[in-house]
Amino acid sequence: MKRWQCLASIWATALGCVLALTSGDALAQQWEKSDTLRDRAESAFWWGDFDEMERLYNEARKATTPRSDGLPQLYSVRAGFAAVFKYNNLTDSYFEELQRLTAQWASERPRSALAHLLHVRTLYARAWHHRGDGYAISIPQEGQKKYIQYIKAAEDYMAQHGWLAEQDSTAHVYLLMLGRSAGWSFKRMWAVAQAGASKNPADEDTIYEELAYSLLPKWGGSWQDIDALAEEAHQQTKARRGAELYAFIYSGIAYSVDGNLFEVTQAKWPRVKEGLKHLLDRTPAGPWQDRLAYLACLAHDRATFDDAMKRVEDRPDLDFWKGGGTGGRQNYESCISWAHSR
Amino acid sequence: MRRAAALGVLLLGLRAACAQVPEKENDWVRLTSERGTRWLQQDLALPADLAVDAETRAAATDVAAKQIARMRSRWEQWARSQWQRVPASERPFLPDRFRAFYVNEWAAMHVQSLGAEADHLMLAAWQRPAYCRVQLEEGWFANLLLAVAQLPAPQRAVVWAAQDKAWNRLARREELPTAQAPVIPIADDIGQLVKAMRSQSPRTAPPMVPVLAWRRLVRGQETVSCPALQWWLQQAVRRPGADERALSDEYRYVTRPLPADPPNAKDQATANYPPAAADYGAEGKVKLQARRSGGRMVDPVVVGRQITVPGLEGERPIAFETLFDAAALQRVRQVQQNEPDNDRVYFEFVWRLQ
Repeated sequence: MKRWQCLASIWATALGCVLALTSGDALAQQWEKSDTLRDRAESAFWWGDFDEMERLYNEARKATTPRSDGLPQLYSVRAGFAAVFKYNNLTDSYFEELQRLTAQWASERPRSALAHLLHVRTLYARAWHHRGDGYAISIPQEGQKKYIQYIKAAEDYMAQHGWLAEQDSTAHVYLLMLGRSAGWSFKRMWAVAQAGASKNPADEDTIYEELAYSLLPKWGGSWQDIDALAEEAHQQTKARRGAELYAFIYSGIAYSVDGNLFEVTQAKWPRVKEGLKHLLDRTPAGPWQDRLAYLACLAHDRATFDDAMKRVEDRPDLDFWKGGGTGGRQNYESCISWAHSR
Repeated sequence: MRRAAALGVLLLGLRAACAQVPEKENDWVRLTSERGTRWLQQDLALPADLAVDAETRAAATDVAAKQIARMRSRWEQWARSQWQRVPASERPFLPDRFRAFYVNEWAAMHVQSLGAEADHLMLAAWQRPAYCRVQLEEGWFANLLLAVAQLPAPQRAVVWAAQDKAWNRLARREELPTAQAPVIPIADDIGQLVKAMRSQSPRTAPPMVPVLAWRRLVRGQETVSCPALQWWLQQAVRRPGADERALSDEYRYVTRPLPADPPNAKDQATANYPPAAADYGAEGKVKLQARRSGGRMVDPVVVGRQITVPGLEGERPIAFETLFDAAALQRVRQVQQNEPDNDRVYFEFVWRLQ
């Protein structure tokens, strides 16, 4: 763990960093696609139907078949729940009702991990409602106070219900989101990630992605920090998964990089390629052919690009060509132009 | 008002002119029975893709089939009595009168209590969050089925048996619906609850589900939707001395089907006369009570109604009773009286199609 000691200091300043995205659920910003499970989870929460939420959640936890992109079904359900916090022009009174509602659910179902976790997620969402997504310096004092108040409330709640983390890897995902907001040390975040990934290997990708997202420069991290994380995750999982997790982390990070991933960061293309090919072989119906083609284009690897484009044909899924601060359409056309320029 | 009323008569005239009434009584009775049966079959039809188990669907279909069969004689009785009641010159208007009668019977079927045990179960079913989530936009009977489907199997059987008995009693006129319009409209009650919710400490109102919080607190919508009614019901059953039968009656009453406005109602010059009332030829009196404060009328409530609808002679016009309420309340709120404050001021509005 020595490699992480150099990172610890960045967490102390995280709260003062520039925050471009509102809040956690990092992957939700990247992978939102037509997803009926996500929609059903959102609908169940929207109507306040906790029994249906819990049914979907438990089914997703037990599901052995991942989504087409390889992510667990649990991810869809969490994204559906989170959607209810993300509508436009919400008010504090809206969040107050959701806080009361989830507190009631938790009180009525003291043994339901989901009921408690939803309450934590609601406190987190309410905190971010007050904070907004502007620069830290631009947040009104009252908003900053409320932000700290609700993040603290969520932290305290998790601390009082320590058993949640023993039962459910969603607790670890939410703890990482809370830790990022509260400025936890990286050591503490790393410990949470390790515990979560070992609790539920199906959530491994989500957990490491959350952690990597927390290390972006806009959160006070650096590309070196992210590379150290990707390297460590790779070392821990390569026996089981080859370079999949390394590729997954950098594929996700590519969405947040302004410029060429392989020039701005320390990502190693051969390993990213190896990992993406693994992901593609394992989940051929997923988005990986598009991602492989896009990243091959960035790495100027024409053979791999050509090979991936045979699968993409003329039906690119442009959501998976996003990155470098540019839209999917622009990246796709730019890569096609590059390929034709040979 | 007179212009609107005149147009109301004109609309009725056009409808009547288009309607066909047989020359012989027996043909009219048969035609009416077939029409009523067909309409009821449509209203009690269940969508093929309704997500319920086969047993629940079969139970509902059975109850519906019995009701369709028993109402046949009710349509026939009504058709015969109307034929004999109205002068020959008014017979062309009989199909319109039957529309009113059908709508009223349909509303009565909704409002009829199922008895203490089944009403208790339905109160619980209406409060289940899934009830609003699975509701269809149209189709009361399908929605009843979806509500009942959430209950455990033995309770479902209790409800269907009670529904069957209740409709049987209603069709035979052995028991008539007792549900009345709430004195304070539920929409107003919900509005007061929202206000109180913000000032009370500790708060007594239950938490709102996201859809309701969004509609009320984010968008400021005041429509009495399924989740709003559910929220109202959740707090109402917890009030000290809550009467399940009264709550069940109120819930059924406010969710009963109302006569629809005629097509293009908004385009007609009937703004002063509720379009549906004009369409069905409804007339009557509405009595209101309000508080006079600073010359203005506040907290008006409807305290009496006397409504008549052609075709509903001798019947309680359940579907039509509240047709004039909104317009009457609006008018009271516009009244200004430069007189001392008074806790009880009464108004009576008379609605006549001329």
